[in-house]
Amino acid sequence: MSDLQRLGAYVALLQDRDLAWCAASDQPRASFLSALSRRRRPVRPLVVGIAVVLSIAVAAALVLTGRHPVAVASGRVSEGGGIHLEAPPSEDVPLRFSDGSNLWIRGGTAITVSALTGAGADVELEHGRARVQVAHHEGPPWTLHAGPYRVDAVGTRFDLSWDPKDARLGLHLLEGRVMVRGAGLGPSLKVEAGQTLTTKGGTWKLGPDLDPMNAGAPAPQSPSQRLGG
Amino acid sequence: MATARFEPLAHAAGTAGKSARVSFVGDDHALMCAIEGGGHGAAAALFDRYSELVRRTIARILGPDPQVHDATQEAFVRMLRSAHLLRDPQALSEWALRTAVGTATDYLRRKYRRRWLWFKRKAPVEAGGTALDTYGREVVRAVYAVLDCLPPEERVLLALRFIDGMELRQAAAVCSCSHATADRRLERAEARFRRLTHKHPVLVDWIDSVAESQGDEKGWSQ
Repeated sequence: MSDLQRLGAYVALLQDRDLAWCAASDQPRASFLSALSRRRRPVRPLVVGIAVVLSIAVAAALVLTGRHPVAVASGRVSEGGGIHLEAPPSEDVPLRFSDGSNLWIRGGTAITVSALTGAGADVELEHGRARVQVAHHEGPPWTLHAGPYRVDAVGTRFDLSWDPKDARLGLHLLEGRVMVRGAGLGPSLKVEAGQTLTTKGGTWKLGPDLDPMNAGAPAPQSPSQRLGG
Repeated sequence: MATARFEPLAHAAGTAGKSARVSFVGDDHALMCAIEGGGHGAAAALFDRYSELVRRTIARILGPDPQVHDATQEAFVRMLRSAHLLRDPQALSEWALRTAVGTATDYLRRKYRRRWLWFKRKAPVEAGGTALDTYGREVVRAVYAVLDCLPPEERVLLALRFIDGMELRQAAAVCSCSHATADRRLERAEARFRRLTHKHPVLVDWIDSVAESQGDEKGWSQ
């Protein structure tokens, strides 16, 4: 039996306990029968009118507060609904966001943008490396996940790499600071500009003179080089 | 031919919705005949016979979601509306299962389409009921939080295969897809699920402890 099957069986066991508790109640049956006997009410024009007015009010509130969900200017929407990007092996891929943030994904790197909110995004670096530039704004930080690690960033620029085979994380801060959490790092670890964090196999190093992005391969090209700015 | 030995119960207790719980005597064919005849008694009998299966299947897919109750009701309403389409009354149980899966999938699709609406932003998944301990509640919550990130079709297959323990062939049948498609979807879903478990320490611990116990078992057996 695989670990997932064991996990599923455990969840099923817990659910069955709850369902047994639920089955003892007559309420679901009674409400089903009562729902069957209820007549469908005709849609009233007043209700429709209120719904239209509310819709307009909500749309106006969205426009006036300017809290649009961050959008991605380029990217392929995967079947999973999130935005999954895999850069070709020999090509870096820039990803721009409507809040002014940017990601430059190195060749062969895969990421998933799991969520886009009014204040930022939730991005998972599946493998490879990326340069991240998060625009400064109010509200919750951008979150980047790499394996068991999580990086919270507001108004900062850094290089992030993740190698799932060796469970190796590399984080080099170019500007600002970030908070890192995850296996073996304690509640959270602050990394500041000029510092580099490397982790491997549950151990970690934080220092000013380490640059994992340059250790094995050339660092990503700078935004201005890449985007011709 | 089976005979419907069935007495309508709709107003037995005076008001609709308060039918006394009387067990229906007859096989599925007889039940179908009664349903085609209409009446709340037949609906109540259908509910009594299949509510456990339908509720359990929907709960496996949706998890600790307050919509399980409504989705169960909706599944039965759908069954009653489409009863005339069922050709083989002996397949009533599989039909109930398919309807439950279809209803849960539709609910997930609606939820998935609306996920960008800020005013519909999902509340944290709550593992309801009274029977769960704190740790169990945490595990269930984490599992379904990960499943929430999966596309509905993949989530349904993963839930049926791994949580409900259904055979892949049956899971493919109730999801109305081919065995090969189900196999591919399941493979994708499993990979996604494993990747996302890293965000939930309780799941990482759980999987690690299973791996350790498997290692111990191997060690003992050698």
